[in-house]
Amino acid sequence: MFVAVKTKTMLYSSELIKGTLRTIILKLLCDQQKMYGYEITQKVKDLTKNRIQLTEGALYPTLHAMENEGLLTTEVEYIGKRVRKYYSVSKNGKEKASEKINEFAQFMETMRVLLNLDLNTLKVQ
Amino acid sequence: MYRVSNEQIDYMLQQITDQGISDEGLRDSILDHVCCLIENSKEPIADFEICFQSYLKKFYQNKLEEIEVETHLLITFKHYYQMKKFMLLSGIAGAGMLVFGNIFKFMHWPGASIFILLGILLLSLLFIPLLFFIKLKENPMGTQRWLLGIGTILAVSFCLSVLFKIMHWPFANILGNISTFGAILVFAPLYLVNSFKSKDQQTNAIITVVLIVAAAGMLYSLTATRLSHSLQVSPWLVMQQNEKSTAQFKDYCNHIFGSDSSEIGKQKMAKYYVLNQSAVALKNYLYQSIANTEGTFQVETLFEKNPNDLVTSKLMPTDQTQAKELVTFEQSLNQIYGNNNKNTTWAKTTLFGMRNSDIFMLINDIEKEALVYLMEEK
Repeated sequence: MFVAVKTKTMLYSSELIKGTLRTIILKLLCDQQKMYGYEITQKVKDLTKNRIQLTEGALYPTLHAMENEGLLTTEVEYIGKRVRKYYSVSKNGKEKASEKINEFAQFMETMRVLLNLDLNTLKVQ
Repeated sequence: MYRVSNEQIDYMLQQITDQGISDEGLRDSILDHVCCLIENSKEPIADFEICFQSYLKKFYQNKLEEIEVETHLLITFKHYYQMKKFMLLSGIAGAGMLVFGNIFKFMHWPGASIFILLGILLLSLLFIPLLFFIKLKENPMGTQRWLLGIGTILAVSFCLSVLFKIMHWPFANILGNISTFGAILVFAPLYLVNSFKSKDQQTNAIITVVLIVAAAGMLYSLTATRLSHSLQVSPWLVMQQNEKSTAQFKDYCNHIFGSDSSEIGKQKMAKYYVLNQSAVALKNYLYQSIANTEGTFQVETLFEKNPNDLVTSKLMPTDQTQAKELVTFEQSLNQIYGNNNKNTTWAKTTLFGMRNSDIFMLINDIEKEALVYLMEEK
């Protein structure tokens, strides 16, 4: 992954994350079979070395909307009095995931051209 | 690792509910998430409630309720965008079909009326109602809500009145009058009053109202109060043509029958003259009906269908005095054909619902056909 930011501790702005939240969720769930909300935030945190921290206020509305649209399926597990909802990708979701990832890859390429970024000077992680 | 107790779960659930989360699924998700955060906390939990509140605060900016509002928005806005897309598509398709339908109509290509019918139906039953629901989602207040509702009803009834008019269906004029008068007397004043609440909208509102009134005025100025010149002339032209062709046939008839001095030839000649006289009388009658009623005369008001009998009751004159020409015409046809009229144009056609000018032509055709039959009969 190419990252144009040098400071390691820098967090990305919520505007940047907002547009890619669905892509992130779909990709993670494609790889991990099933996950619950907290697990998703932790996984993203680990994978991005704390650079992307999903906020609960953005994550849950998106998860519920994606379930409503048929992109995600859910199963429920009872832990004592708690109810844990596991999310996994549906068939539609899988198609949407590859569509979204492709779109984002093209977007990155377009942005690279648009912003005249030289890949050689970018730090490869 | 810290374990959350059942009492603490009850407490948290109550707190989440009190802070405005009413959706059960969302409540469970938030609860599980906070529990995970607390249980995986690296720092020791001194005061559970403080710890819970501080974690919960990370979920929102001002109020926990935001998360439910956001969920609701995401779910409904998805439909909103789909609806909007569908609305635009139906609008473009409807308007496009109308344009194509009219081009087809001007060019006399087949399929024009189907295009026009579909176009108007798309616009009035899909595009306008969808527009209404989409605008309703933007939460108009008070008078604006009324304006939206009234506007939608008026627009749909106007579109349907145009459709009914071109299809010659009943109630077209009533629908049209309701929609135009409704627009001028109800919609426009309400719109004006509503716009006076804010000054910057006033000019726009006045312009819109002027446009509505002007459009309605121009629409009504198209109404013909007298029979138009073309309508007055067209039956006359048809008459002229008919008389010309009848004269030609008469000559032809004389040529054929003239050499036939036998008794049968004379009988045929007599029969034909009776037919010709009744046809002329019927055409004259139809012509005068149009002229007297200034173009509003419809043949179907005089006749009603009766499917039981093939010929005599096919067209049942309800006004015997006015339609007696038709009966005479029919009688003269029966004299020629006798019982062999089952395959003739006359037996196969119904005049019900036909335009008067078409009936002129049809009578002419029937007359010609009867003449040919007479000549070939042995």
